[in-house]
Amino acid sequence: MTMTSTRRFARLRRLPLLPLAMVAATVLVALFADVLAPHDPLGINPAARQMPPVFAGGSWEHPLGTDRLGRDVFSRIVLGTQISLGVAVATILLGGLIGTVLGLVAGYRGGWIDALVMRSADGFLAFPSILLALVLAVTVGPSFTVVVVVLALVLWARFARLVRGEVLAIKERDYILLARVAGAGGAYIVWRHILPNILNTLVVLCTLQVGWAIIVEASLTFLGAGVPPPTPTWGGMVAEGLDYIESAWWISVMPGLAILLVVFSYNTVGDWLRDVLDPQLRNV
Amino acid sequence: MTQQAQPILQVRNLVTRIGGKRGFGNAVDDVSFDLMPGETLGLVGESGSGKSMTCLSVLRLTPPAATHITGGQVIFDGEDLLRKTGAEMRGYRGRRISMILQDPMRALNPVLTVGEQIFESLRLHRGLRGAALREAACELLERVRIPDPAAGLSAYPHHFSGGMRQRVVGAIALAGNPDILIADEPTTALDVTVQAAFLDLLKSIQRQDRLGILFVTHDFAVVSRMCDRVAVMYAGRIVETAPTDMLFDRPRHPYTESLLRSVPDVDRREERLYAIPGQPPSVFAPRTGCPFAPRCPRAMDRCRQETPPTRRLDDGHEVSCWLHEE
Repeated sequence: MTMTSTRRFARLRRLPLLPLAMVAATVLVALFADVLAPHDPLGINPAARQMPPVFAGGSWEHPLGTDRLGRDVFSRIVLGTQISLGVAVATILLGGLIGTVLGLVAGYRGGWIDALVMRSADGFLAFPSILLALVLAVTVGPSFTVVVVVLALVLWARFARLVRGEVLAIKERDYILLARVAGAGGAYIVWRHILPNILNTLVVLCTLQVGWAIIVEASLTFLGAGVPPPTPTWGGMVAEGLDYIESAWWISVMPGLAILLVVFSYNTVGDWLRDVLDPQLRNV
Repeated sequence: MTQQAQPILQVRNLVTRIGGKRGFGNAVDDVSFDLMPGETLGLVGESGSGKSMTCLSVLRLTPPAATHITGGQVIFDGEDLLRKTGAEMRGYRGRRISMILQDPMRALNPVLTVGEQIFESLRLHRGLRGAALREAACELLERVRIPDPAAGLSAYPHHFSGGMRQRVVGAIALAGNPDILIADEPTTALDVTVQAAFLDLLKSIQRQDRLGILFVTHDFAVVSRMCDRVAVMYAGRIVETAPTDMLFDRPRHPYTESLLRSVPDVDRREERLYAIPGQPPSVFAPRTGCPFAPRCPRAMDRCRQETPPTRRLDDGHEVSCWLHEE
């Protein structure tokens, strides 16, 4: 009894409670942004321009202050969560799916397919994604889709590399040979025997990429190559506030803090998941 | 159609080349043997003598990047498997020829339940679905004497001990009702008591199904317990084939003799264990003459120049050695 309860306590203590709560909170905020935002994030209010946050002498009406057009910073951060997380999820779904499929094929088939996929992955990883985004922003025009496509172009290569490495290790296992002895075909073996073995790794990689996607999306928007205004995004808000950083620092700093906290949380949870899901470290 | 007289598997002059950065060579070199229905043929030899490669060649599952089956025939039930297409070959694997491997710890997928892995073979080979599938899986586990089969189905491989896992591997291998089971050192990783129980189980299943077993091992105790006939491999070649008791009583090839002498015996008190001098040749080394000649105590000039043919002796031995010419 005492044994199990102490062990349970030890497990509980190892949980990254705060980051986990943050991750859960961001998901909830993103889902219910419209309900949670106290003001219209696009609503201009000339009477309440550059109001400071509540802890710097402002009022609870605008807890994190207002920007130069009198828009509520808190409401804009709340809606920005939706955009940032939306970009991250869409990117990881798109890039992750393409990368995983290509990695599986490359690792299992080997030969020239492997060489082709992996050299392209190297190419895409080496290519500066910011430059590509800028080019696309100029030619196609900046949009949510452009950001997702640009990020996915880089992300698929990370997934492909990791998945291919895992497949190379797993396909030499005895149970893969036995599956072939049993007459199973290549696609079946990959789907049924190899993929379940790398799901853990994929989950961890996905979590760790959320932070990266949010930061790159913010950078792109900051440079004007991301999701265009007036849609509130964290990167865009940081950029907008830059000119007023001396008089109204909160316009830039508040969304900056949001980026910091969210990225930190996702990365911490990702690291924790990696340790938990690693069968070598897990006590059965 | 006299079934007793027809071998279920005839391997004729099989050659499997292996190659890479270190050069080329024959991992399986002109190997021929027969396997009758219900018979156990032992394949013995040192590590690297080509036993496992021979097994994989029969299934045509040698590593595709490094190996290539270049010659011979693998006649199964009257048809040459080496002439089959990939798709046709898949129809043979599991359903007609199955396999179990050395290490049961690695032979099962750790992330799938035992049930899922048995279902897979049953679906593939017998096209079973739903309740019938579950029932057949339970029957299979019962056959390999797993206590409480229904519970076993939802367990993961790590819930079982080594011996139990090897039984599960056996159940999966038997799911397609194969004619031949290739057993590649199936008991090497098990401890002796578990080993005996597993071999008994294998024997009883063999009797019920008239299963032909190609049994790879380097353990002569296991050979004497399991095998009807034994083929001794050296450097990719079969140097001697004989019924088990005759091989033990009167080995005809100098290599078999040396191999039997190097088996430790509790009744024989010896100062040192016997070891065959020298080492087996590398697969990649160029060959002239008998591959055993450099280590053979009775090697003659001719042994170093010409490869001896395989000769059938009056006492039923088939041996490939110049000592037995004329």
